[in-house]
Amino acid sequence: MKELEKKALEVREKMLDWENPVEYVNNMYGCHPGEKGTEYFSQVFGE
Amino acid sequence: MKKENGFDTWKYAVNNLIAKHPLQVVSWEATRKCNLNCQHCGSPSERTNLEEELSTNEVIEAFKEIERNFDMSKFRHINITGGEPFVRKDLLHILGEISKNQYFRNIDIQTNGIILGKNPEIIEQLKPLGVTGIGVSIDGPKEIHDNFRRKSGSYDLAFKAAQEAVKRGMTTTVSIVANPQNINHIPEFYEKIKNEIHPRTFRIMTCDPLGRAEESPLTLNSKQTKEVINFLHEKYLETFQNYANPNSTMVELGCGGWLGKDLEGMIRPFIFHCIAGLNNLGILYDGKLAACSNIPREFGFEGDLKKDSIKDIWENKYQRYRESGWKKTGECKSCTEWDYCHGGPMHKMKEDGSRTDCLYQTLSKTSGEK
Repeated sequence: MKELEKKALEVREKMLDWENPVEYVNNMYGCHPGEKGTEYFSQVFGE
Repeated sequence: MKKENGFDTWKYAVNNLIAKHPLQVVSWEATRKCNLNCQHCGSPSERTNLEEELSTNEVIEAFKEIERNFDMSKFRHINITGGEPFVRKDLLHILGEISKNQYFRNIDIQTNGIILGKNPEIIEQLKPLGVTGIGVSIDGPKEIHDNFRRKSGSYDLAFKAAQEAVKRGMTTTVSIVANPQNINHIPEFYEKIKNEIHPRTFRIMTCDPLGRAEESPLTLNSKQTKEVINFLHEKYLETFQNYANPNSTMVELGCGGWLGKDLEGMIRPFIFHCIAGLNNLGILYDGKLAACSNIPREFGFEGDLKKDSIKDIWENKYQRYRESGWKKTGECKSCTEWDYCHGGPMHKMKEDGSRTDCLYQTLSKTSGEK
């Protein structure tokens, strides 16, 4: 669990650095953040 | 400006957004009419004058006015709520008209699934009209859901609607309103939804004392709230590494509020800040201009599109959403999280600056530490 939490904290840093601070809150209910649709998830949660 | 850590960077960006308040999201409450009569509805048809509902042309004109007067390059999406949006006979016609604007082609619709479950082919008709997301409310196992919805068979239709939405390529959210009657079922329910529907998002909302739920015993106590948060934290850690894959199922907590810097970004795929009136405009069923369709009507309105210019109202009448000092009351006065949450979600706010509850405070008290 410690290792997962460490990785989650690294991901969180990317969320916090995202240009629009409410990007996904903006797109709640399953809409597509980002100009092309999936940048937020690929960049925040991708490798 | 020196930034001490990620939260300071984020806080700076939020303050910048508040100062600029670009219109990016419209929450349109399409109607207050509904084909169900749910126990916990936050937007019930009681105490509303359904005769005042915006006409087809008034809705289309409102979106044209937005198109003319706002910077559309900043615009992101339209969130359609109700009532039950699909009881509006002209919904598809309206969508056809407004989605002629390329910036109005990222639309989601929140539904109880009754009509889509019976007529899933409607989903195909929605796709060319700019609808990309469908949110279906399912409140736990069949018996519990049908009891909440006061209609036998509503669970099966909602379940089918969500399955069909996923199958037909919609970005789909399944939302459950957590309350004392379903909280013990949430873990098994989550597994069922994940395995049998495969939605993009499994969303838990805490039952707020609003609408019909205002006087019913459906709100969670502190211990139950903590159980929900712990569950989401555990599932988030199990699954977050898959979220770049659009076929994965994400978990999230809805607009319940700020959880504190320790938990934010660790239980849902975003950092929460209420967007009402910051970049989110609410158009209510009768044309009243609010900040979000989730905010109770008793909180008041900023304008009326039947009489006012939307642009004028947006620029000049939303100060109570963009200036937060008046909300710094009670426990907020000395709270160390204030600079990040600014008082939390506006649907919990009362006109005197007090609030129905604060998740951060609830969790702090439950854990015995601040």
